[in-house]
Amino acid sequence: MTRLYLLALTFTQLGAIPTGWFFEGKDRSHFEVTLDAKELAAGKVSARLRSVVPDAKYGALLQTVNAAHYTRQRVRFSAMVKASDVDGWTGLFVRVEGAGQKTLAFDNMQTRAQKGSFDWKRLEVVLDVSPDARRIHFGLGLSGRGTAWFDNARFETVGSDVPTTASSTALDGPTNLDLDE
Amino acid sequence: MQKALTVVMGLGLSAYAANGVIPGWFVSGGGRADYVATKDTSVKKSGTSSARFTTQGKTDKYGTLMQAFNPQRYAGKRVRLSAWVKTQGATGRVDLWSRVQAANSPGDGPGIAGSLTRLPETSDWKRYEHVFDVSADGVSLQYGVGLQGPGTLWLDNVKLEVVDKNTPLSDGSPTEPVNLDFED
Repeated sequence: MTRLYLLALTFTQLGAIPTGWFFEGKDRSHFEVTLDAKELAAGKVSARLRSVVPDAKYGALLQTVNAAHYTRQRVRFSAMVKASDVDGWTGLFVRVEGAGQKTLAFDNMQTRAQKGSFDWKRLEVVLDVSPDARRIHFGLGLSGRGTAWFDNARFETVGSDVPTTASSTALDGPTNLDLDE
Repeated sequence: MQKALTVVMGLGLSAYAANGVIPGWFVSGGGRADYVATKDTSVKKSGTSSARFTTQGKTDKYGTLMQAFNPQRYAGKRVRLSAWVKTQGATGRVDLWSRVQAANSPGDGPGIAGSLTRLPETSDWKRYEHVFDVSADGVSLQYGVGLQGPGTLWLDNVKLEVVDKNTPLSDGSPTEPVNLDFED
């Protein structure tokens, strides 16, 4: 059931946005996006996102896939992440988008934001892809000054036994109607 | 309904007058004054020329080279927009977009159909396509290529074809993730 996409492809150029990935953010000039051949979790390169101004607005390195292969399934995006002197926060994110670019499910780890400096560790976001999903955006975000690396990412379907991490999960039914919770 | 069309066409005509070297196409977007479109007879995918679209000066606003028309003859049909695009040093943002605007669609929104594909900041000629339905509610069918920030793009051999309803809809994004290990 679980599908893994770990592509072993050849190393190209440093100093450029990795193939298939894009930068998204308020201000591109606040960020450097490069490949890094020194800080690695696996393989020969990792991707590095560095903000070069103290109050950098949120920026992200991401890719977008068509949701067709994932609708009605639960997906997990995970990656090895390392950080250095992040004074804002960093984390992985997934946004499931429907018609009209409407957000159907979203988690950017803001509620479990990663800060400061830490060595390689695997972070993950798990979300449900509803039947009307059109596209899925996923990647690594960074806010404020600092450097974050990411490597060895996985995007896979998982069983319903794996809990979602959604920050705004749809409820299963009426909840807290007496408003006492 | 008439108003939305008039706004688009009004924009088109004024931009066309300003740099009317590519018949049928015009420069639009919040940063339209910061971009220029010209014919390029040396860099092209096919035929005698391509459209070259680039910044003039420093900008962080979005500009697009686009086309817009009344989609009446496509109403109720599925269409495939395809385009060849080459990019160079587009470190801000570069995309191919399409949309069907209804009478009440906001000017800066995605419309009722169509899509947006992010393009690599530098790449050789590559073909991209969107497949979408044009409903009878559409008052303007629009498509274009855009830049936000520095860089240059070339556009050539654009096609809009009616396709069979069995042709899968396509938003231009890949169906599976790529390069998750960054080794590509």
